[in-house]
Amino acid sequence: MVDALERVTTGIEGLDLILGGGFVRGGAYVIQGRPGTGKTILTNQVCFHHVRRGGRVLYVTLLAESHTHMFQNLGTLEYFDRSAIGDGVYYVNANRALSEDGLDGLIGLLRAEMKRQRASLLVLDGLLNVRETADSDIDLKRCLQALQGQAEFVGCTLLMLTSAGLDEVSPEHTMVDGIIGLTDELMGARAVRRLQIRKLRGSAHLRGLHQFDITRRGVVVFARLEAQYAQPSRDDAADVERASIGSGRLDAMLGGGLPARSATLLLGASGTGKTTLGLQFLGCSTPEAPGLHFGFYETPARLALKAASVGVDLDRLTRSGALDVLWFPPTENLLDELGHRLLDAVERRGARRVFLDGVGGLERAAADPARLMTFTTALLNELRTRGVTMLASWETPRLFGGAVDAPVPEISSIVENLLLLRFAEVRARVHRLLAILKVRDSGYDPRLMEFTIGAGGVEVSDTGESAEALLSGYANLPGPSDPAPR
Amino acid sequence: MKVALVVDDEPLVAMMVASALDDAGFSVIEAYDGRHALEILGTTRIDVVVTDYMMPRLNGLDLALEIRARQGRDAIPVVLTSAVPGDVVLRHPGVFAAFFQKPYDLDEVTATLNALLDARA
Repeated sequence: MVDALERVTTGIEGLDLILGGGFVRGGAYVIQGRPGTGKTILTNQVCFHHVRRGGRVLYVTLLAESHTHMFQNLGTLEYFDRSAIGDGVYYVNANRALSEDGLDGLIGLLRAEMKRQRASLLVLDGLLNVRETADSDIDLKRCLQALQGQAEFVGCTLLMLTSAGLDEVSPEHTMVDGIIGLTDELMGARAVRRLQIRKLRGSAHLRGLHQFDITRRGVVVFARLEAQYAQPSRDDAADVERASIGSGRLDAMLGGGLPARSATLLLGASGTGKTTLGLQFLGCSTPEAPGLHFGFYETPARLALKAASVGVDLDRLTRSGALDVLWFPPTENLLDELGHRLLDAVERRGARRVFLDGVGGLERAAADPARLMTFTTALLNELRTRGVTMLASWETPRLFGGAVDAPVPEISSIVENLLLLRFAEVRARVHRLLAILKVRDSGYDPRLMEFTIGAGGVEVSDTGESAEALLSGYANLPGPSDPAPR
Repeated sequence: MKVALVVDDEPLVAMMVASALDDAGFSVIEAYDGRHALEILGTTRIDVVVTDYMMPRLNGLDLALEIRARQGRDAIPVVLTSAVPGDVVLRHPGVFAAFFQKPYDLDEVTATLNALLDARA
């Protein structure tokens, strides 16, 4: 029998998840980060959540910004509730006690105030000042021990904020139950905020770096997807069902459609018809088996126009509840935010088919490109177990030419099905060609096919061209007056 | 010279208010919380109190109520300043002579104190 620790939730969904359910009641934690990394915003968010849940907070500042200034800044955030200040969250400055009476003065004041305010959460904002006041590491340890002891005795959870770097033998590191480190780093021209649980006693937690953002809602934490879904959240239901790709001829080539609960990658250069095929795939969505368009490059309005041109009525589909369209301009997205938004959208609507247009949007969002494979693996595994048939486009760089440049070569190992769309020049005319390169556990038509895009969408016809011709990128038909290129 | 007692746990805020009142011709004494203010009131003639609301040991409301309990209807005026709206003033009518929400105009505060003291003269 394993005892469950009583938790104090932070109210920040991603952080609670990473912490294994929240802070342990009566525990002592350090929130560490350089100035500007979001310590105060995060901590106040926890405070106001705690009050909404019926708790009482004592927020103690030392040599920090004035309370008035803090409230002005927090006033721009939706969680900030002025009516809760004074009764629910009580802010005091203890700098005089610390500077005049030292660590004992501070401990005494906090002990009395914790009792007076009946605090169930105590925040000490300015642990660095306490460290600087201490004569030695032992002094600081004694102080922390006294604070922890008092807080634990009355079941009060203690959060201490510091901008000091903490090495593993520092008193703060050794004494407390957990440390949350916040960073805000430049990666190229963009800045990325990340959070790491550097220490946590008594709890399994998600290790490593997790992205977070500061929005009008406050701090939003996105657990690193491959950490959260290192194992899919539910069992895989392998089956032999098929999902139509939206083109009868192509379904036949695929052996009856795409294998359900599989991932298919559409490789092709810009303009070859990837999005069009994806829209046809989504055109098969129904309210009972909804679809999701998760795209980066075309606005919903332009997408609807493009879909209409090939006979897919996106507006009708969305109105009927058969389809959701989510658009994320490929500017400064966070990779994990995208992953979670996709999974949330699938869960919300119960989506059964997803068109991700395209994977390059994820690639651009990846501050650390080395993560893309593990991220995508976790995402696809999770989508499969949620019953989703996934079609994703990935733009290859060459319009014409012999080589097929998969942006990440290993990608073929994590998708079940691969389709290649290519341009080919035949007698001074550009043709579109399609080839199925791989289908999971299934036979498929290996022939190269020419296809056209018309009012009915992608229409595949058997042209009899050779695979060699397509993969060389020169589908020129040899003839007496038209020699094959060398 | 009129004597003002400035009560605030934030040393910087207390110093700013004290400087403004000093410039306006007040003699100023500072206290760092409500209990410290009561100690000073017990030993020193004070004409007006300017107090913060949230402080350790004794808050601004309890300070004002204690002053009324000690001095009765002719208690010295207590002006409340706070970073939060004046709900506490509305819930306790007549306890405070005036209320200023931080950040406030220090000239307005000194003008109000002068008016309050003139009215009592």
